[in-house]
Amino acid sequence: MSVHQPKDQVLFINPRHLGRYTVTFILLIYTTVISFPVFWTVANSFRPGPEILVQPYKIPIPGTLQNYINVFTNPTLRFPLYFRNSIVVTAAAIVLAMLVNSMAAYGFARLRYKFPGREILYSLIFLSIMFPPQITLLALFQLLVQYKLYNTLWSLILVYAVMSMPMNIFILRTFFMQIPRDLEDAALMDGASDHQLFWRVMFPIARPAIFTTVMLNFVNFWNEFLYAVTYINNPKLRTLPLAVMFFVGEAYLDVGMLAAAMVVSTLPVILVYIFISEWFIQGMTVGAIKG
Amino acid sequence: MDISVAGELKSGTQRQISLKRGFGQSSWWAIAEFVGPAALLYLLFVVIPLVMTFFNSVHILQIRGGAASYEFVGLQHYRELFTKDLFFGLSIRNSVIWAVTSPFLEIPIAFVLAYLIHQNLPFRRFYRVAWFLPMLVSWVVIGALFRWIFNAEWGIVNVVLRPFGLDHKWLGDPNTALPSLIAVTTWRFIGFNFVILLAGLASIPEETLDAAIVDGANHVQKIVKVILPMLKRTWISLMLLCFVGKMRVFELVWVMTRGAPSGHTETVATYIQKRAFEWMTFDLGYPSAIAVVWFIVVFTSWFLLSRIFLRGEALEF
Repeated sequence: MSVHQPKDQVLFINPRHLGRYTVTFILLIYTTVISFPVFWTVANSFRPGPEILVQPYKIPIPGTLQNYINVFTNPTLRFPLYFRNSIVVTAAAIVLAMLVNSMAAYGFARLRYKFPGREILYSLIFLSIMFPPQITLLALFQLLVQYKLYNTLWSLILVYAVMSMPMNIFILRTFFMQIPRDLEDAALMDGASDHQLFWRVMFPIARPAIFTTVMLNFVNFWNEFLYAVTYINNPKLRTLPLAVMFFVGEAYLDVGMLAAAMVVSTLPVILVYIFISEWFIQGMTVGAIKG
Repeated sequence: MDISVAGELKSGTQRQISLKRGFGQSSWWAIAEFVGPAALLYLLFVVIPLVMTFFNSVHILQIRGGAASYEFVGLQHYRELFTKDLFFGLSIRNSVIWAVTSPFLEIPIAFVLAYLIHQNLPFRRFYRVAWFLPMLVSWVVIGALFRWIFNAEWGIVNVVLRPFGLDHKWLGDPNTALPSLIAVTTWRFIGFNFVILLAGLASIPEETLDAAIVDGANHVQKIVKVILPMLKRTWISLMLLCFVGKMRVFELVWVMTRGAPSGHTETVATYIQKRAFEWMTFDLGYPSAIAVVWFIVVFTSWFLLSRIFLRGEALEF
């Protein structure tokens, strides 16, 4: 691949490069086609709904922000409430998952914390990554009803944290296993307890891996739908995915407003993605890249 | 606070122990602190509900005002599933079609893209970021969006195809509804597979590929004889992952078609949801039986496929 071209030949289209231009052209077309649904939704969100149905394909210049204003101010939509619910659930579940999973991963990573059945427990947790969620969905519904957690945001917070366990613990355990043991021995020599050792030494060191799991969880929790639709029945407690689903059913006529709601509900993830896309991609594909 | 005092006391004794045992085994207290919360949550939210599902599947279970009433019916639900329930057969068929075709769409397309990008093409980072984007959009938004895309009158698919006389009610026709939905999941996951395959390609040493070029191999030979064998674990893992993922499709169908037309896009997951909450049968036992059957099917097929194709090697993931 390292064919060095003399500088003066750069402007001259070398037949050898013709293939590369063709491929680049095809890929740009491909990218346009697969990105079209997203761009079109964004475009529609800046146009009045009735107009879209008459003329669906038009670049919104000049655009209107009316749909966005409607989404946030229309009292029957209660969009700010749903936004708040999503933030509460996602933030709380992320914190809970971070604490539980990082400690567990450390406990699974070091020989020092070995106990009978530890490897079996770890394998079991990891194995549950391919369980169809329905194997626990209905029984968990029954339990949540019994313990008065059904129709509370707590149900989602707890379930999301558990849902994140297999992948998070896998990622963090792999990270902890790569940290040299000298560090811990030194801390223990200085008389640190296991508790101090973890929170003052290991947890700070593991920040990159923890950040990776936080990104992964952020996307998954923010977009989660199956558990939300099963465990939340009270309209006041809907998260954004639920809200959008009911919105599709109720207000499908105003395409513009629906488009704006879809954009707003996706925006937090996209905004973070724009700034740290590499971290995001890594978070969602980590492990797969290993080796 | 008490905790810090206890912590210091403990560290003192531990220091002696550690010095004696060379930082070997830790105390049970530390183990309980680290692994305890996760083990407890796993027990409460996975193990117990899983066992309960098996138990529920041989009962008629009704929940009224927070209290559960059980009526033992033995294997009645299972008999009904396999002899009478046509929707169950249909939903299994659809889920299996989804799970079997998707790996052969997503991974090859993603591989071709990754291979092209790997030839030092411009805009590499741009493609990576742009193609991965659908992975961040929720299924609900994707579902709403593609209802528009496939809209019979003004959806872009028909707008483009109409001049050729190929416009069609994609989601209304039993023959095209499921393929249309499969196209949507493929659209979403190509970027994911692409990123992983590109990383795999980058891990192949330059010399190996250069050697193939020196031997006069063309692109197809290079891919078939060198790259695919070297990345075997990666692409097989991705295919297995894709397979299992499509066995659990729920959200997209729930938002786009709800199983219409007449069950032709029903998946096992949506059927369980309907039997549990929408059919007003008020029996959680029957859908639990479906869940048990499906669990066994997914688990065995996963076990067999990974045995056959990965030969006991760890999944590259």
